[in-house]
Amino acid sequence: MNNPKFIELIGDYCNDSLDPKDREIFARKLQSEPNLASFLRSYEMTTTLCSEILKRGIPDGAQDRLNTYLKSHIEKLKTKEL
Amino acid sequence: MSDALTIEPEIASTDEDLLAAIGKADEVAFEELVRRYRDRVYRLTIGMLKNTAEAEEVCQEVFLTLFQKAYTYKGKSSASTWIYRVATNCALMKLRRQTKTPELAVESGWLGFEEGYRAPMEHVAKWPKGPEKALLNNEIRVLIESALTQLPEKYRIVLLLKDVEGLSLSEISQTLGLTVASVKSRIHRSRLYIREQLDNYFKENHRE
Repeated sequence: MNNPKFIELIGDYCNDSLDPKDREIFARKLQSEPNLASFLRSYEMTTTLCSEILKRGIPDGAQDRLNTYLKSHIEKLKTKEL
Repeated sequence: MSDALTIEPEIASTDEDLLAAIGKADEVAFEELVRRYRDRVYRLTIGMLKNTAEAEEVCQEVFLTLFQKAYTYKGKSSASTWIYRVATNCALMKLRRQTKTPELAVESGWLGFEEGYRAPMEHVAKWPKGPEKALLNNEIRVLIESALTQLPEKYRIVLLLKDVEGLSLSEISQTLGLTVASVKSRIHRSRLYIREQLDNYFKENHRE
């Protein structure tokens, strides 16, 4: 249950990259292993929480400063080229 | 940035088309590229650097680099992979210029499961049931952000590219120049580490 290959299998299961046959075998295993099912649920929740929490946009102020910075530096580049 | 329109964004709307136009100094195309990628590049830089001022600085550097180097894009990878590669390189360069902050020991700590790490499946805490969105409180936010900071940069970057930016394993492999197997292993280890921090939190805070 704890060997690296098994751990990788969990990753593949969560990434939906297991072939259908292996997926079916794994799904059957989950039904008979409540600890594994709990672990898997927590693993999947971790992925969702990371995605929700870390997915943020650039703040308005930073966006304005980015535009100003790019405008001024591109103008400088153009002046250099002339 | 410019009043010279050399492409029609409606027609030349792919990222690849934009890069080709930017390679010819088309500022309208560049504005469109910035609009499409500013959130993604910022997320990646803040995720890597954990400091808003530095993330902002690197974000600016990334876009200026894209403007200057777009002519070197030859279409060997997708435009987004190429853009993420530029962003990743700028963020890593910035990190390497900084004083090293303590990170987890990758090969000796529990992250080194290749050397005998045992996933704690026997004692999983009772995680709250219900939709994950209901768990998005400030403590969990802080915990995840802090766990991410503790991950070594090579683990942090793959987690950000996969779980936040949604890149495929193959795209991450191209972006970072790693094998797909290495990418998979790093993503998995990163998730395991953050999962364990959450598990400890739920053990302490959600006893039933």
